[in-house]
Amino acid sequence: VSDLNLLLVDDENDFLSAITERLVERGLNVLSACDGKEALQIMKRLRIDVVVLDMVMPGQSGLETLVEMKKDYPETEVIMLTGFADIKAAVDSMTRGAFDYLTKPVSMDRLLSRIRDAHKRKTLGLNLKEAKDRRVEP
Amino acid sequence: MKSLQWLKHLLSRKRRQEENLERLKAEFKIHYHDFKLLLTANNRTLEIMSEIEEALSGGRPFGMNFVRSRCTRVAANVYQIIKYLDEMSPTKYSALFEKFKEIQRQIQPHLDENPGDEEHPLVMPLEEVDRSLVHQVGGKMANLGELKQKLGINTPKGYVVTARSFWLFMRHNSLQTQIEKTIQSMESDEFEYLYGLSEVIQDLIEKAPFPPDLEAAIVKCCEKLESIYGKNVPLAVRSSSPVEDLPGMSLAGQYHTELGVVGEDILKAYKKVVASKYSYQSMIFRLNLGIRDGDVAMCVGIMPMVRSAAGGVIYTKDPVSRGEEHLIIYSVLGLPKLVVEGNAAVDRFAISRNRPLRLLAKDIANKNKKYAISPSGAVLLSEIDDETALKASLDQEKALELAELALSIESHYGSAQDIEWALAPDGSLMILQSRPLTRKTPNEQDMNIKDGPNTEPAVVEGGVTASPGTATGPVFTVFSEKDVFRFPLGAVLVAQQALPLWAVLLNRAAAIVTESGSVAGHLASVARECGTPALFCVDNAVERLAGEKLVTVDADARKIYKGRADMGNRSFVPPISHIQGSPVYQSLKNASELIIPLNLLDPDGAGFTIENCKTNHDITRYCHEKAVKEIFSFGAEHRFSERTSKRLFVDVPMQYWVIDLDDGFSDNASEDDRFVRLENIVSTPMLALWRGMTAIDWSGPPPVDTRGFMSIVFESTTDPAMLSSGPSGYKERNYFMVTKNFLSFQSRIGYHFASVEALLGDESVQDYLSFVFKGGAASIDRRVARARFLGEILEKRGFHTRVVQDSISARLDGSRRRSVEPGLEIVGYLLIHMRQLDMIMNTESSVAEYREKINADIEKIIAG
Repeated sequence: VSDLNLLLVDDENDFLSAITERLVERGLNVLSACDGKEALQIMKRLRIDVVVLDMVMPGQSGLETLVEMKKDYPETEVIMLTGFADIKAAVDSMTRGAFDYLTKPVSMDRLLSRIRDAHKRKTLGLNLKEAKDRRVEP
Repeated sequence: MKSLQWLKHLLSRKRRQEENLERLKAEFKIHYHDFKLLLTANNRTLEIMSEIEEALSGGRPFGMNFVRSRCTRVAANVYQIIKYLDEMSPTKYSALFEKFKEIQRQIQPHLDENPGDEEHPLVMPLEEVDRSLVHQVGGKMANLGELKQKLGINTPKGYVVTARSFWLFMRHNSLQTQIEKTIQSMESDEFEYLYGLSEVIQDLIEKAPFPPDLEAAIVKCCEKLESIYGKNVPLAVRSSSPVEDLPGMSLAGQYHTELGVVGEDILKAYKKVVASKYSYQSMIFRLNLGIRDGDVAMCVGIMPMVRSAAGGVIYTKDPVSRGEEHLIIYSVLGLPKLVVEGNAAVDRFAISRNRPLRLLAKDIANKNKKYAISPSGAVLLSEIDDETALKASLDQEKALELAELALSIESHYGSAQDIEWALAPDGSLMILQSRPLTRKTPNEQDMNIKDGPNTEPAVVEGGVTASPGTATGPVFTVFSEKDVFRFPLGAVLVAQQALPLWAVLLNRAAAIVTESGSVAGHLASVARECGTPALFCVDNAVERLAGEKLVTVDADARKIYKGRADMGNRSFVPPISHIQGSPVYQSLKNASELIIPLNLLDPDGAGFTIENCKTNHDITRYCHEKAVKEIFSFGAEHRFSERTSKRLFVDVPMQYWVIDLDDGFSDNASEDDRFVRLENIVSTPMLALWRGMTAIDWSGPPPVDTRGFMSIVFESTTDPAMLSSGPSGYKERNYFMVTKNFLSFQSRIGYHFASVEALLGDESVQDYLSFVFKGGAASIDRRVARARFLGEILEKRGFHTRVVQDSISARLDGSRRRSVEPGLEIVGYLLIHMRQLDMIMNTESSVAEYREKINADIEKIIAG
């Protein structure tokens, strides 16, 4: 996972720093943002493979942020992580392209395994796209 | 020039073929990853369903956060299952999305809680309140209003801050959302965890700002009370919840009451009472009783403090009934607080229920302390002189008047009541609250544990039965709050004082033994509600039980025995579980009806359709079945040129071709693009199949009789598909498509068609094996006979088979883990040895002979 660029978006600073530390320990390149706007700014500058996005944040909501991310960066996989389990929110975010909808508390192993799955999905999607693009060349 | 063009043409064709293979591999890899993700989501869904079923079995308490999070997790996983199936075969299964949404829409209402949005005032005067407004003003205040309005009983004047105000306060600045997030992110039932959580939430509430209109309304009602009772009149600020004072669960003493509140402190006091909704005692009680957080609005009563000469509790019946029923009064000097705390010496009066009411007994205690209101409004505990301490706190006339009042309240509510009262200095009686009384009847049949061979005489005798019953457990002595966290499940709680604090342990403790305490105290009330045996006022219990490891408490007979005593015809009654049938339980039960039942049972049946999916489980079952078909149809539907595959370099008469879709070849496989050696193949399922194919030498086709031979000739002339004309196409060869854990083998030679599909050894995916065999050259009856014969052999080896005419499909799945590898060996063997058996399917003796040989061969193969 050393080539994996992960972006964590959450308005709770304590949570953000605790989880960043633990994911860095496991070899991920972790960037963090405390709201959707900042997250989108980061994505303009850097390649982000997987985003872990909080649902409830001040300002732009997690769902709105997800929609913008999937519009501009469809290959980036977004995992919703929320402290507020809600079926409607889960369905809304999954239908808008979220890779998964996880509810807190989530174990580090489970989060990491979902991040890996998402990253692999993204890589395989890009490979297929490349193989198809190559095929149409004369 | 021509030869140059020819070369160019060859090179470009080769490049196209290589590109096709690359695209194929990329497609397969993403399909396979999706398939694995689908299966992972499927397994997670099944795990969550098991958690839900376990919760519904009623063993452990759970809250609404559990219900919501599990239903949401199921939804998120089921959505993924559909999404991955849709990715594997776009548009074919799109109708599942709508079906899924429809089911979630039906689940949603079971997770919604009552938000208390009714239009009613923020604050109401108590004289305008009655029992019908319990959801707006809470049980305690509704009862006070009811007594005043319906029975004309003297109750405190004042106001109630309503449920609407509570929700207004909780939603202001998203306070409720913050709280729910905090609760959900700390999901644990451990006491220590809940204790920390409780502190965090109460702190959030006490620091939260007021909505301006609520603040104004509360301040205004204080000003009105001051205008009647004078400036800075000390006020009592009491909790009143719609979910308390209910039959069988009073939650006695679990919420906060702030006494002696003066002036602007009222706002702080309001928040403190509201915060006590999240005191860890009340959180544990809600968890144990299955009360939904969202159903609990904390209404708050604001009333002037009643300065009382005496006060206490009256039960209209004995809470621990022993034959004839009486009214029981517990009384102290000053405020009644000492009685409900349950630790002071109190006067006890027994009064007949038959009219004319008579004082049957009185027991006057040495009451050396009392609570009183200081001139500044504070509630202080003060000493009582010896002479006064020994005087009755209530005279006979007032005791009978109180009993009369209590009986009229009982008659109004139609059930025994637990009533808190106060006697004003001017001699008038006032009722402070009334709630249903939980009563228990001790076992009258056998008040003594039968002395059995293992039963020694009681080590302790005496005390007062606060809650009847019998239980055995290890002794655990508690001294302070920190002992709560260490308290082992099923232990006998031994303490000096019967503190309300111990109430949180009632669902963990087998029994309670204390040195002091009152039957009228909160701890005793809650023990009766939980069905936990409790023996109070046992002299020196802590010291006397200190050396004992295991004891049996007989609260009925007021005895404690060493070890596990023989209880004769009485059996241990476990603590009452309140969770079954509770609102939280019902929410989960209702939601689970749309999650767990499985209606799609037969994948081959006509009813196995998207339209018939009624639950999340149906969707997962449907998708799982279809996903397996989709992943293997990838192998069956793709056609390749020979150049994209490698011929298996083996010394067998048949030709086999292998296509590596991902990681089916070892890294040191030859670069030669024409051949691959068996030792360079690392596909676990292919190697298992191959072992079976080559385990026993094939002795050639069995001897065929003349009719058998003639049938081949006849079938060949009528079925053009069986004729091999011109150069054989790739599709008519034997080819393997492999990865390390995946195999799709297709074989179509002459008259036979066979396919084997398998997943083996991928830890994230269940093992799977499917085998289809069809065709043959003999007449249809012989081919059908062979298909049945194969079915019989495979069924015996644990396969699920289905025979239709001359085709057989057989399947083994991951529920029989470790069976797929030998299953592949068996199928490999059969592929080689069954080819021309249709020819000999005419006599029973030859069939029996072959059956015996085949079974013996299979035994040999699986024995390794």
